[in-house]
Amino acid sequence: MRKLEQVALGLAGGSATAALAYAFLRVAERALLPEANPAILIGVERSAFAFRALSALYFGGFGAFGFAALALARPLVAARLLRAAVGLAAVALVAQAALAP
Amino acid sequence: MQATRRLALVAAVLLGMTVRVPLGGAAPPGTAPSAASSSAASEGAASRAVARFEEAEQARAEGRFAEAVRAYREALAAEPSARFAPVARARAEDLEAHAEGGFAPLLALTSARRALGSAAEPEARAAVEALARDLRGFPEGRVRAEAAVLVGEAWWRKLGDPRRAVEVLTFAAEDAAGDPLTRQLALTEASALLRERGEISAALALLERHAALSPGALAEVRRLARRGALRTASIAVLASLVVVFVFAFFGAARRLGGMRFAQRAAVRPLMVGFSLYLGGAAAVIVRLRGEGDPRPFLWLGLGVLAVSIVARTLALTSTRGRAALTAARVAVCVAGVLAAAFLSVERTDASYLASLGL
Repeated sequence: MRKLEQVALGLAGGSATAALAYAFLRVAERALLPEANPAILIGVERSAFAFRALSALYFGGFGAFGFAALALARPLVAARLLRAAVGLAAVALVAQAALAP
Repeated sequence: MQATRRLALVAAVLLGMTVRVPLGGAAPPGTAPSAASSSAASEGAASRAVARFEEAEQARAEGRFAEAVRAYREALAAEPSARFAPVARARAEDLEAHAEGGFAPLLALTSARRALGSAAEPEARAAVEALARDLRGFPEGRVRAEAAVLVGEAWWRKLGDPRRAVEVLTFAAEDAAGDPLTRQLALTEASALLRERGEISAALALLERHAALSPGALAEVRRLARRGALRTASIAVLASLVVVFVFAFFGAARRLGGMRFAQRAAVRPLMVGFSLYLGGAAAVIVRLRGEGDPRPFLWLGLGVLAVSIVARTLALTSTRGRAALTAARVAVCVAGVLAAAFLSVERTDASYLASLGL
């Protein structure tokens, strides 16, 4: 596998992981730390939504490195896992929007 | 004419109600005094009460406690509703609660307290030494524990002898005749002093012996003891990893034909990038949020890099029995990452651990 393909797989995997992470963080916050609607608070200086988005991006970085490492060792497995991760991220975001907006 | 007579009669009745004129000779015995004389009597009682209260205050300041109690009680009896009555009552009750031994222990305690507050260090030290010798012979009561607390705090904070302070504060905490609040103070001071000296296990043993007196302090010291045990275990895990790495590295170097090859094989660019990202990105997010210490995350990144190098080196040396060895390697490295994470937080900003009960 070429370096560019490895990087692309890593970035794609990281994006899917970031979306999954956001859904998980939002559900966890709603369950453990109830707060007001983020759409109203988005302009606030210390917005919980902004911090949640940053955290999701951070965890997405873990996914990027993981997928890049897997792409180097097992490219086909990485590709199949990426397909599953994207589907799972879409389902998770829809479920989070419905259950814990 | 009749109206005038009626008017005169009404006026006479009204006048008779306001003026009481004795009908010859002295008033018969048992009758109430006049308003003027009762007013004079109450003023006399008030001034007597004030005088006795002032005498009581003077006696109390001069250490004549028995006399002070008597004077307070007499002042209260003379004027129970005086302005000083609550103060007099509280001081009399306090003195009576410290009356064991005929007030002699209380006098010794008060003298030592005065010497500590005003005298130079040699005189203060002599007063504390004298009180420390005498308090063991004090009769059961509140004064003994209070004297022990005074001696303990003096040795700790003023005279620089914490070892003796622990002993006497423990004595005060274990004095069953002492006031519960005094015992609780002695217990928390003794445990704080032991913690300051790094003797967590001794502080825990002391608090567990008197758990009912200070449950909050006991929970805090238990948490510190858990943290200390985890710190020891983490250091042991990382030290073991270092030893394992040294052997594995020389094994890998022998296998790959040189240290340079082993080094190149052990340090992977992707792992270095991930470790730097793990620590650096988290530190940036913490700084952007404006609160929190980024140092734990930076040290965590370095710790993960070190453990990953050890894991990679171990992988280079393992050949047969791969599944079992792989499982062992994974377990060791997970323990190493957890140890690095714990130490990086505990050594830089331990407040993060409080939310985890550590």
